[in-house]
Amino acid sequence: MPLDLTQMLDPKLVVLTAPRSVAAEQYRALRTNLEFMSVGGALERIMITSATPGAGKSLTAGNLALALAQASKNTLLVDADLRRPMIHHLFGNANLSGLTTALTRPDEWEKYVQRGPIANLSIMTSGPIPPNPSELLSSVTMISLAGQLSQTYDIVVFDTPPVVSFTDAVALSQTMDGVLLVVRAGHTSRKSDIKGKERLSQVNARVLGVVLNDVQMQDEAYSYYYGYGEKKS
Amino acid sequence: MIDLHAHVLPGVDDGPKTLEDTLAVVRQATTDGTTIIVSVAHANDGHFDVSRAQYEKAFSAASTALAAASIGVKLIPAMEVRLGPRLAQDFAEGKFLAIGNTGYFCVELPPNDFPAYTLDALFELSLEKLRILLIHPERNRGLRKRPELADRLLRMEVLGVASGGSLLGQFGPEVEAAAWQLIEMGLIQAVASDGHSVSKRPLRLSAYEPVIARRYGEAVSEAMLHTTPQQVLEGLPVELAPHERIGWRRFFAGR
Repeated sequence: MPLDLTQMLDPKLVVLTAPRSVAAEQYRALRTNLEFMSVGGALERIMITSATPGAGKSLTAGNLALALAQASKNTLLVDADLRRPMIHHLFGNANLSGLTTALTRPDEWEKYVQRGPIANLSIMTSGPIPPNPSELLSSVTMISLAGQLSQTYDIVVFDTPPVVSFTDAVALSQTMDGVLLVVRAGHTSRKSDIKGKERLSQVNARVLGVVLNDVQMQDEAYSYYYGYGEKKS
Repeated sequence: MIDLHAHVLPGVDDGPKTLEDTLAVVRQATTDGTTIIVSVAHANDGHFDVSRAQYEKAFSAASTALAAASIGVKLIPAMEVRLGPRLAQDFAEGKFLAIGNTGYFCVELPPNDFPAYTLDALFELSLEKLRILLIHPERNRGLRKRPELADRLLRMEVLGVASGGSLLGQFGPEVEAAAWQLIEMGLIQAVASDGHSVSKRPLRLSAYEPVIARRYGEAVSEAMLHTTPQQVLEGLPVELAPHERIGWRRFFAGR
């Protein structure tokens, strides 16, 4: 039976499912901002994290990766959240093998990369969940794998576990060119978000900025501007 | 109904001794409403080390006899593999059988302890693209003593299958309590007969339906005896959601 990709995609991947929405436009703006930032030092490996669960970091990672691929960047999206992997759910990929398999068999990592829904986007799902995620993510093998990945792709986006609850992302930030912290309006607490930022700064991670997610749009002019040419629902 | 785990092959392990016994236990299962049986044999538990060749011979003998006796049941081949430190290598070398071609693989823990290498050995198996079906985890003493280990198995997406007898107290009150606890945690998502014989350990899945329904409601008993086993046979992942015991009020109102 042929698979209909659009049916397997999570509708919240708005860059693809609702390209003219305000949200999709914001993800493209995020892409543009990153391009400007890379003037100050190459951004080939970007890590997306949040302070606590539920901020929407996997969705941010997925949408950002889509936006990058649409701008003809050869992009790889890696699910390094071995606590609660979501990327395969969002993109409808199988997850019998992936990052963890690649880490245990690093010479054949290419075998664990899957095709994404659009050109220029490849996906490495989490793979089976190991008993010791932080050990695996802070291993020497992970550092060398990250190096190999960025040699092959223009940009690699890593989705990682929340930074306050687990040490995984803090460890992984050391192999990254930059970190984006996702906070969610009316959901994540200011205190824990600041704590998350501190955790990363303590290890000298380059925090590129904060992505504010799930803002309720009320300003008419603003939404009119972004929704131009599209019928309002 | 689908029985995810029963010993029905003649003369290989502690299941039926002869082909006649095989026919008798399977006939009992079909009368009870079972249509598909995952037919396991102990591959390496120390008492019974059934090789692939022995297994396949017994499997085809049983299938032929069942067809000749026109017993309408489908047998699916599988081995029940006792945990050891090098299961993944042995699997890769073709020593063991997974459940048909579902990608699910039956592992049982040793009854008395939870070896230090357990999680690593299971992870290595999953790197072989296998999903782990943990057989009667409620009967493992190590897991009963340290429920936090069940939580770690859960995080690794290991799917537990209880033996129906455990729910009826056949293995004692401790095992029974552990079975309920693991269902409530979400590790156990299905029940199998783990049948061996007509009288002592029968293949009678319908006996477990009321005890599960009474505690968790009919939707859960339906999932544990029908939907989840079906998902396993289709090779699909199963969500490890915890099951909540229904309150007494709801229980009486639902009658």
